[in-house]
Amino acid sequence: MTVYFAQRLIGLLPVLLVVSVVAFLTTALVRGDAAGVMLGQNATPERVALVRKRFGLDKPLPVRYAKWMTQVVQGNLGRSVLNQQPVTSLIGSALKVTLEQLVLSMLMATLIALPVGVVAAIRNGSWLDQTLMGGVLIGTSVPTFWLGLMLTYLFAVRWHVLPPSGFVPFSEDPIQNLKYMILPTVALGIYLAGPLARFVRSSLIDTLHQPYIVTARAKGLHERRVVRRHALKNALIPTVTFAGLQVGALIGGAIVTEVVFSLPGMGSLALNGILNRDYPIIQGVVLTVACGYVLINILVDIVYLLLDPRISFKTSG
Amino acid sequence: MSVRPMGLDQSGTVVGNRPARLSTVPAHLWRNSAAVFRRQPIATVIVGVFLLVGALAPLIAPYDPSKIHMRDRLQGPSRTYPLGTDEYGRDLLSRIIHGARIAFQAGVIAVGIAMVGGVLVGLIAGYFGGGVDYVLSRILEGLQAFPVVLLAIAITGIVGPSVRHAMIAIGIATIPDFARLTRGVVLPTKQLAYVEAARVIGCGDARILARAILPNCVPAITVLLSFSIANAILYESALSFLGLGAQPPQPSWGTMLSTAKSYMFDLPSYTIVVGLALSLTIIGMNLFGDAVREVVDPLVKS
Repeated sequence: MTVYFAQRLIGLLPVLLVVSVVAFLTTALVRGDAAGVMLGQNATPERVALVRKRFGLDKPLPVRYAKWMTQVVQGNLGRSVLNQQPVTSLIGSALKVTLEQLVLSMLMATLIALPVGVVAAIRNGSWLDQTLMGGVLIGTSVPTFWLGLMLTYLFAVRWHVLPPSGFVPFSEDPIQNLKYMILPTVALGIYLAGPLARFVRSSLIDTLHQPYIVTARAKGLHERRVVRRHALKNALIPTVTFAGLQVGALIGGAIVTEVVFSLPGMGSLALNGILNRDYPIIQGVVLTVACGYVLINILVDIVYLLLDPRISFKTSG
Repeated sequence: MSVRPMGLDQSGTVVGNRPARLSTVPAHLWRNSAAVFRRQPIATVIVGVFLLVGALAPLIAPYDPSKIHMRDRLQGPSRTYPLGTDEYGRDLLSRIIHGARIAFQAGVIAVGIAMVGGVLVGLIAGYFGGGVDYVLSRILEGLQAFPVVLLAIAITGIVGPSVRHAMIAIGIATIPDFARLTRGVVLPTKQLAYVEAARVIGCGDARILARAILPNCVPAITVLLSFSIANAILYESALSFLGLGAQPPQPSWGTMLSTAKSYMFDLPSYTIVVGLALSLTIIGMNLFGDAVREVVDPLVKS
């Protein structure tokens, strides 16, 4: 098992290399010159040259990449051009907000998708199945930011039950924190619930056709017990992997909902970075999110292995 | 599957000395379209209306989308302005109609880039295998680690916000989807006997890829197309909403929503109608994609 994970981790290196190159290039290839952009239009050529030298922008790209990577590996993502704060600490506090949002919406999506998917699978082909699947498809298709706006309109503007936007850290006031998180979580959760419910449904339908389910039924087990004890467990194992694969889309959605609800997470950080042309921040956010995505997928693989004892730890392939 | 390497006669001997023509042009296009319509009539109508409105926007729209009527600003739906007016008194219906055009362009251009780039990479990686495949696959995996929205935010943020940049960014970020799908079809296809036959009669790699393998990828690509267009429209509107796509006064749905947000107290119908247009389009596209999948994918059909 250790060998397997060691192999997986080594296999990650080329992917992480690509990730770092892309993250580097997104800002290194700025049209025009980053130094000129930072200084504004009134900069004298001498000053531009000075800044270029200070930031090493006069060196060729591979050299700049190597220098940047040496810093990144040491956990140094540079400083914000705007306020000189270290990018790592800015990302650290933003990451907490985004992670909370991701975990809560994943939970919300599961709470919706599991019952919907199971009921749809059991009643496969019925009008109930079609209604439920139609419903979740609509939920996925509606843009999260518009859903967010509509939820804000109803719950904050119309009925005054929830705050429209803003944020309080969980450590300061957990209840207030959750109140701020409900609407973004619902908006994002509904978006994820669609693909998840569809996957649960098809996975469970597949499982219900397996011979051992027929055996369980032949034994005279109650259908409810067949589904709960025998089918569902097996059907949910691939669902874990599927949910992991959705994290990328979920992060994308989180970025936009954060802006709608003014949550100080990674999305707001990236957007402000772009509006202020604060390149170290953009690089940092892009790199962190992509690495996080890669790591989450490894974690999902590990969970998958732990859940399904049938998978052997072959070191080949 | 009607894969019939022409140039071979019944007994399998090569007829003439021209290289074989391998053709699998989908002969049942019309029948399939009818089948898609039967499965999802409403979605097909939505998609049709969207395409029509997008194509004929200037002819259909009752007003010029940029014509300002300051005296009629922020009105609800009325007889003169069927969906009301925006903060400059511009007719919302006309702006939504022209917005369909931008959304349509965004979908087609972004997905066009993604499809051409992705299919090419997928064909090469899957067909040649080995080191080429390894390197290309790692690059794709790396690219896929970036959520489309984030990559598009980074790209548009740096080259400057505009619809064009947003479309290109979304296209690039969607390349891995098409590449991985194509590669997945190429891998088993290149083992098939008829590909072997094409090689035996002397077809070159490019010819085999284009005439023997690519047609086999078409059904899978078709299915991915309509979902990708729906997603591209969604991403374009999200980027425009964030201020990184279309710029005012362009009537992009995303840009309109980001302005509408500020008037949610006074004129909620502004946000509602624009969002409904966007949502309906995407719901229609996704349902349409489902129907296409059912018709095209023999596994789902059975």
